[in-house]
Amino acid sequence: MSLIEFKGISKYYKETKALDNVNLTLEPNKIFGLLGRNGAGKTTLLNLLTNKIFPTTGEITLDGATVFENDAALKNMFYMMERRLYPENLSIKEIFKWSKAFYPEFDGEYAYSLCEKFKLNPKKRVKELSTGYESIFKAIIALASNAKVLIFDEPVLGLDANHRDLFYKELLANYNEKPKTIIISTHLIEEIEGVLEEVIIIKEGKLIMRKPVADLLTSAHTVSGEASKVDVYLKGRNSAGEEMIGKFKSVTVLEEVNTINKTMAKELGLELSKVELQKLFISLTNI
Amino acid sequence: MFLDFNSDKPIYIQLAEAIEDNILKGVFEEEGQIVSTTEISVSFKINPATAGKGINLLVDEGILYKKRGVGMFVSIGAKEKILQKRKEGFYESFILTLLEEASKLNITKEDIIRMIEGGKA
Amino acid sequence: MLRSQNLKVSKLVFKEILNAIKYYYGIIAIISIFFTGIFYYTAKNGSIEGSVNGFGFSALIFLFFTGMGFFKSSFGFTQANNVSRRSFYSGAIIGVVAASGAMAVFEVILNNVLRLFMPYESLMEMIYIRKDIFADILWSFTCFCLSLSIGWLVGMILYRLEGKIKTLLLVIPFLTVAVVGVIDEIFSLNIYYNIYLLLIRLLSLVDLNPYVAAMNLMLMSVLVIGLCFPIIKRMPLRG
Repeated sequence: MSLIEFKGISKYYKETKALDNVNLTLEPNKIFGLLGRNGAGKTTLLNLLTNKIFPTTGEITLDGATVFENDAALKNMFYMMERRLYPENLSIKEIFKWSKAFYPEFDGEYAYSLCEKFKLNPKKRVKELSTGYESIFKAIIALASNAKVLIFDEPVLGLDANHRDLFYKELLANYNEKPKTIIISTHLIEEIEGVLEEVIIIKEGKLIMRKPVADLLTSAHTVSGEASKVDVYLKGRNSAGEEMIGKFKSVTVLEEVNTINKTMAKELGLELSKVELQKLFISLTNI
Repeated sequence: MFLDFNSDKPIYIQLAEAIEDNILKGVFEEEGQIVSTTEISVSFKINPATAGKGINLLVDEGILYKKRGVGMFVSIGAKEKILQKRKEGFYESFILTLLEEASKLNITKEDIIRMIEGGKA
Repeated sequence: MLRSQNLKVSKLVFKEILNAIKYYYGIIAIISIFFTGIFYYTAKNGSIEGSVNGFGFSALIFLFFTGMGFFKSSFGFTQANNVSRRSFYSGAIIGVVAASGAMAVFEVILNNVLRLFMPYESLMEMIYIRKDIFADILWSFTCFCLSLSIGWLVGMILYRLEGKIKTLLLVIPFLTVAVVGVIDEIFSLNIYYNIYLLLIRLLSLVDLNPYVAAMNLMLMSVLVIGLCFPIIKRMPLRG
């Protein structure tokens, strides 16, 4: 299968702790969202997973075997990076050929059909591509690689709305047909909320949350109404993040909605509503 | 069919209800096949696990059944089941909300009855 | 089956080096044609005067820079395809050796063709004063290998280091030469003289035996390539 385990992973640079004792298990064939603010450590985590950089302490394994310098494990993962690592003078066709060399299961036909869908001319050279199309061509390689683990770091950078829509649909079509582990690191939380099965949140190098999206959403709610009444409601409850407009206050409460707090809210004349993932994320990761 | 990510209702429940609506409307006929999980997943851009959850909800209620290797089908009597379920839920879903809103606006029960019978109060 | 990752890398490196060499020989071709023209134009009494030499040396310089260049783009490309550094290392070695071999053969053939049009001596022929095609190929091969390897090593070191240290690194060779020169003077150690003697022995410039030289050059290449390993072993991917 493709079980990924991060065991006691820390990554220190001279003055900074990029990652601090991350312990994480990713079960095979789920779509994971890796969320975190800029500089939180998401890309570091992905770089460690794919042997681009090395941990200060700890170990990462794929199906029990370490990923460190291990071609057998690395071959099962395709990592779509933000950075430009493909030689600029090569055409997309040529890059597909090399991808096939390094990833024998690469499906060329599928790759070309995706090129057509995205209106990408495979004869173009990498240096001729706009930011958006650079993301698109890398995403196509990822999808066509047939690797057991697909890792996307900001896959829709620079893509227009139509292409983003198409990307999510192609991703899901691919996943439905051939289940695989997919890890998507992105800032566009609203868009991706429905696509994800589980969410992993990194804050300042630490793993602060790892839950199925559905569970995460039911574990919190928003209370809103007159500020003083809201404060009464909040007594003794865990909350994170609030917004005030004049006397009107809206707070994210880290609790399930149940009959008790429903009744209390009603009595206080307050409204309880669902928190969207993005809002919850902001609340959890603001200091 | 339309899914609202901002609604308080979880997506999988919205999906189940949307399928039920289509059964009531006759878009999905009894003994007929409904859209596959894959189609739902791709068209609505939702995780297939979520789509599956919604469908399983309906399977548990006997509204849908699975034909192995083929797909999901509408059970005989599904329409009836749905209507029954909705009738039972009518009070919760509509009447209670109506009464709450009415009390907020100081509209009496008699006003409401007059509105139902002939139009505006 | 996974050993083959390094074969893919060797193919990649081989192609990249040959790609660069294409341009080199393109320029050589133009220069050769130019000189052929001059020779025939200035020929007196039907015989050609003057000679052209030194292409061989420029090849070495060119290969040094090619060695520096191929690393960055190949390494990035293979990292994008999730290849381990070990596979990159062994694959690159094969690629470098193969490219050196191919180029050596090509060079020698080219030299012999040029000889038909103008007085031309290859570098080996000049140094070892003999016409021996096999020795020429072997000697050129080891020279090219060493050149590429040193370029590769330097390229990697520069890649690995951060900005400030990088400029330091470029200054150090000159500093070292100057400092050693001073020490030499003060203590009469004859360091440079001894290095000079060593080079003469390595390159067999007394016995004029290109085979011995080739062997020594190969050993030096192995040494240089060996030095590459600890540098690449835990090389982090840079932006």
